[in-house]
Order: sequence, then C-alpha cells, then structure tokens
Amino acid sequence: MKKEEVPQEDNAIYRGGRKAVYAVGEGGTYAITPSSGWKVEEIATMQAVDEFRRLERDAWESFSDHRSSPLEVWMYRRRMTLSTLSECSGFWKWQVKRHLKYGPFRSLSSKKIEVYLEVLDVSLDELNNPKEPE
Amino acid sequence: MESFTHRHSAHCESGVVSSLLTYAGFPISEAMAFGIGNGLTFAYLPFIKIDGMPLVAYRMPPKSIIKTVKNRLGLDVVMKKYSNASSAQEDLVSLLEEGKIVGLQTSVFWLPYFPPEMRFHFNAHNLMVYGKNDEGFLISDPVFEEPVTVEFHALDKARFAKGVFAPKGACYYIERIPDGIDLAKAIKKAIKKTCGMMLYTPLPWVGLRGMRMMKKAILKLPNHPHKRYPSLYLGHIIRMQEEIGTGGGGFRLMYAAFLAEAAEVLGREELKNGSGMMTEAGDKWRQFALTASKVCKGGELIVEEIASKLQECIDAEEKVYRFLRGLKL
Repeated sequence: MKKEEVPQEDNAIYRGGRKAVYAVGEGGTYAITPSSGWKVEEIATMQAVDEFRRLERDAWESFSDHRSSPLEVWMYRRRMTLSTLSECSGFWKWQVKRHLKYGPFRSLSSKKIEVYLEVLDVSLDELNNPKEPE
Repeated sequence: MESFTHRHSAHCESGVVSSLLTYAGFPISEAMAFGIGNGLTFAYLPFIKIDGMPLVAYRMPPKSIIKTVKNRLGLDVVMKKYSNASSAQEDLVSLLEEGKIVGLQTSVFWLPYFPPEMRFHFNAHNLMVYGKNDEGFLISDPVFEEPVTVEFHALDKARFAKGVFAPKGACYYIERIPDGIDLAKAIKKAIKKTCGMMLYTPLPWVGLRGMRMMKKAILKLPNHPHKRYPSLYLGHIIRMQEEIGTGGGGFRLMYAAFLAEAAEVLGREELKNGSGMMTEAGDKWRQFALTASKVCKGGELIVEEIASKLQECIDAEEKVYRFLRGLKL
C-alpha cells in the first residue's frame, strides 16, 4: 500500500482518533501513516456490535415475557456469550445456561449473584431491572 | 536514560516492546521488534471457538513477541503476576518510583478510553504505565495517538479481568540490556524461522496450509444451516485481519517494513525485493477483505470470488518465503 492509498474514510467508531497503518512513502521507504478509518473494517466491526445488540434485544423481549432472566440481557449487553460468561464467572456452561432462565435465576443464592455482579460490573438493582435496550 | 516519549504504533505488543527498548537505551522500531520477535504467522484453528467463530490469527499468540525478543537479544526482562489487585497496584507504584516504565497485560473491554464499539472481551492487550497523578495512572497505549490517564480502579478492573488469557495483573519491565547485541544475527535467525514456519509446518492449521484450510471452509459456507453465519464468519476474518491493530493486511505490511529495515542493517539489497513482494501480499489481503466485506454489507454470497482472492494471497506469500529462503541469509 502506498501512502496516498491509505484510506481516510472517517470511521465513526474511532471518535476522531486515527490508527497507525504501514505504507510506502516517497522514495520507497516504509513509514507509519495515521488512518482515519477504512469502510471495510467499519462494516466488520459494526456487524459484530450489531449482532450483540440484536441478541440483547431478543433477550430483553424474552425477559419481558418472563422466559429469560435479566442475566441474559446483561450478558449480551456486556458483549459476552455463554462461553465468555462461563469462563469469567467460573461457573460451568450448563450452570450458566440454567441461570439464564427466569425461574432458576430467581432462586439463585446471593453468593452466586455476587459473582455475576462482579463479572458484569453492575449493582444488584441494575442486574434485576435492566433498562430496555435502545 | 532518555525521557519517555509516546509512540503511535500499529500493534500493541510490538509497540510496547519497541517503546520499552527505546526508552532503555536500545532504539528499535516497531516493525523491527515485530520481525525479530517472529510475530508473523497464520493460523486457522476451527476447533477453538471465539464467540462461536473459529480462531483466525495473523500473528503469534500473545506474549510471544516479548518472549522471543527477550531471548533473541538476551535481555533481562522481569515478568510478574499477582494474586490480588491491591498488591499489584502497590508494586506498580513502587516500580514507577524507581523510574521504570512498566508494561501491562490488560483486557480491552474494561479500558475506559477505548471507543465503546471497539470494546470486546480480549484479555491480551498490552500498554505501558509511565507515571501517575492524583487522577490515576499515566498510560501510553501504543495503538492510540496520544497518552491517556486511567483512573486507578478502572485499571485494576482491566488488569484483573477474568476468562481466556486472564492477565492476572501481569506486568513486565526491562531490567538490563546486555552490551554488544548482534542485531544482524537476530534478524537472520528470525527471518529463517518465520519462512520455515509458513512453508513447512507439519501442522495443517498453520502457515500456508492453514490458509488453504480456511479457503476450503469459505467454499463450504453456502452449505451452512444458519443463514446469517456466512456473513458473520467473513466479518470475523476481516476483524482479525484489519481491526485488531495489525497495521493493515494482517501484519503483512508491517513485516514488509521490517524486511526493508533488515536490508539496511544487513547490507543486503535483495531484501528490499523481499519487502516489495511482502507489500504485494499485504495488498492482496486488503483486496481479499474488500471482496469479503461485500457479503457483510448484505450482498450476494460470492464464495468463489472470495476464495480466488484468498488464493492470490497464498500464492503471493509462498513467493516471498521461497525468495527469502533462497537468499541464504
């Protein structure tokens, strides 16, 4: 990539920041060139972000119907999946899966709830009453 | 010792290594640190899942650049882990008082200065702490343009995130740099090793063989039962290649910069040709990402076209490694 080919496509995600990209400048020497973004990268990042938003929205609807626990909403809000939450909490996947259900979540011991509060960085009140996703 | 200056880099680990070494009195570019640290690779591990996607890596696993550079140059590097956040913070403060610049391993998700859309649960990010004030620690994060201040508790949270690659407060700093480092020797060794790995690895998931495996997987995408999977899968590859601080083209362009620098150090003009070939490979990877992104945008699933772009990357890379091996460095 030549210096003048480095994309400057203002990736909104960077919030005005720039990223270091390697490109060939004058005289054929390599140098770091700051890039304000490349659409290709922005599409891929936003796709991953949107996928979590979609999962969060589905979880919220199912929480409103008392099928899912609020934990499921928070899991996706914190961009976690079942395996990430299991790894971070130290609970087995089958345990987490159970805790994602409305009924079993309500009977969780306060010790287990403590673990989730720490992992998700939320208060008890926030955990139990997630706001509707935007 | 010189005073510390923040340097904007493409990748966190190579950026930290280059900054730490430069500060300690051995000036070295990020590309050089990446090259002699054997940072470049390709791995496709379908049996390891990240958020349901196979692991795709364009560089060696976390910590390997630091460890390789340390061994290859014979540096005295201290690496520590902690059982709790308070002792980690106390130790960090006392190291800063001794005038050390300290490298840390952290999570990306819990760093407050990261743009919200870029926060994912990746626990092997690297940054440096170069001081503190009343508000918090002064952080030089190589992938950002300017240094930042992070509030004490927030940094603890990022240092003690749990899950895969849990940092456990890991920190490292350079204790001593030996005299008479033979950079030329380190470069030759590193290039030979990278070429050998890319061409002749016995594992089917690594090097050119890994790329061929990924190509096969892409061609099978239309058979996947979940409708959204192909698009998410291709998006995942693009992110690993472009988003996570690779300097463009999945680290290939940074490696090309390394080869150009190596040509100067070794006085071998032919390495410049190698650098040019590597640039071509990097550009092909950018083309591949561009083509794949059409699917992510909601376009048709053009697997044949994407796979043929990937084949061009494979051919371009094979050409560089064979050329470099032929140089008999």
